[in-house]
Amino acid sequence: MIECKAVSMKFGAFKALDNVSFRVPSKNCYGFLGQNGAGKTTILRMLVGLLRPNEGEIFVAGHSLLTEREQVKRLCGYLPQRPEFYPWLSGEEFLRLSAELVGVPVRQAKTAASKYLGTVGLTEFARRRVGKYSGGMQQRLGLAAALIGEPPVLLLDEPVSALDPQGRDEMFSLLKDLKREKTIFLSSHILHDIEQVCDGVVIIHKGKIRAQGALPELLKQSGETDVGTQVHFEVNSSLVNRLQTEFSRAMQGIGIPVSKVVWQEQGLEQYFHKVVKQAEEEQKQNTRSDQGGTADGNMVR
Amino acid sequence: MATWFAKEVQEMVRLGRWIPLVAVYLFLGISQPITAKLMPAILSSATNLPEGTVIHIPPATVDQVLYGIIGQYNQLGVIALILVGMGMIAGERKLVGEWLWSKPVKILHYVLAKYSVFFLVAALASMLGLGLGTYYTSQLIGPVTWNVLWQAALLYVVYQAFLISVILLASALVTSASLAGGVALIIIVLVNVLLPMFWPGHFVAGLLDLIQGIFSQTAWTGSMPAWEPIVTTLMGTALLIGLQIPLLVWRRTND
Repeated sequence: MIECKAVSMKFGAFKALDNVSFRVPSKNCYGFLGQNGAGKTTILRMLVGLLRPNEGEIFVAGHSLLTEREQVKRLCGYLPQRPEFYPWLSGEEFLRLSAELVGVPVRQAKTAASKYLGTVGLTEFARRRVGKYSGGMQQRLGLAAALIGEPPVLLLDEPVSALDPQGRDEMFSLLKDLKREKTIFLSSHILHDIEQVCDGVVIIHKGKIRAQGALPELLKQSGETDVGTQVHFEVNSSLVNRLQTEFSRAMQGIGIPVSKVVWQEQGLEQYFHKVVKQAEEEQKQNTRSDQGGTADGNMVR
Repeated sequence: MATWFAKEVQEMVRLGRWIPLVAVYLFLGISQPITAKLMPAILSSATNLPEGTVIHIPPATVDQVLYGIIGQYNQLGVIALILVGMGMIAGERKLVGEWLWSKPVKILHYVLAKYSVFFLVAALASMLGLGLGTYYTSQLIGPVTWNVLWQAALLYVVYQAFLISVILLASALVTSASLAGGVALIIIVLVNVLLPMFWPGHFVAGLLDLIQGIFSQTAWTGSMPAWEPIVTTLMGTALLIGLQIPLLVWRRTND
């Protein structure tokens, strides 16, 4: 389980995180959503002990990051947004080093390295220097380095950003398998994939948590009544232009057979955009009321 | 510790970091006796001297040539050490800092592995240079007392241990390798130039006096026992290595 309690963080005058609290249940996969600069990477770096919050407490697998930092590091596999490697080591050597650092005995480190190179599909590149890996291969190797030592918690910062569509599918299918035995917290901008693989989400906007919880409950709670409709027509190509222009008012009248209608309830993508929009509107209102207050103050003075 | 030691050896070999150290120390070791032997010939063949100029250069003695090697080590040798060592921690933090500090790394092991591999390579390179320099000195200048040489060499290695601890501390202190090089150079210059003014005959200044005394086979005339500069230099080295640990612990959450 991962738990953040009232965490705040400032970089100079900039407040990157403001009273952030959320919880990711054990053996669940949660997506961490937010726009660029919302504070996702800051939180993930904090969870693995790379940053110390100014205020608040963080617990990972029952251990406090304030008092048991090294223990937490042993329990977490972390894939940074831009994975880093020694370019002069081969993929296998890098994984062996990663394994030994998390406490895998030297004799088993080689076996573990081979196993996880296979897991991420890099077996045939095991002996190639990491400096010669492509971006996608480096991201896979980064995931293997996070998995090695079998940590119960995985923290993944945009794990598919450098992968091609096939690699992305493979990564998410791997995560689906892994979430049976690990707690996974991953940030990504690909909401469709998050929706497919994650049990829940945490949404952050400009350093504040705006929504969190299990996906079905969140979507149900949102009370959205709009329904997106996708209608598939089998039409003669000559009718397409006419269909486009007259569809809204004349669909039923022009005699086109409707072959398939898909009724799609509100998805994560719409929900995410709604939360962000609400947050921005709230912020605008707050700014307006602040400005109003200032103006009043000036008038009084 | 063994994991980091193996990784450091691999890095030293694969990145060829040992090559400039060995090349510079060999060059400095060999060039000193050759230059001392050939200096009169070089000067006499100089064409821009006024006719009838007479320069009297007394022939270089063995101890002058050998201490000259240490003098060269203390100039170009220090620059070579700084260039090789300045990025060892700063560069690594920049390259793989996020990966490194997200692992449960024992900082003491990390620092000791870096220090010991760098020290071993530098000490071997300087000994090799000094050994070859001594061979050429014995061939070109005069017989060398090998017992004297080994004593001086061991003392120089103690001095080198101190230099390496300064360089690695500077590398742990800042994030830029070139800045680390600058910081290390300033500290070493200050220690070599300012310290003898305020604390003559002690610490590294005393150590260099001791090396010179051994080469010239003169008795130690310092006000303190001869072991004092050795012990204070070793203590200074240990202190600087130790300082890297809290510094890197702090860096882990602030890089």
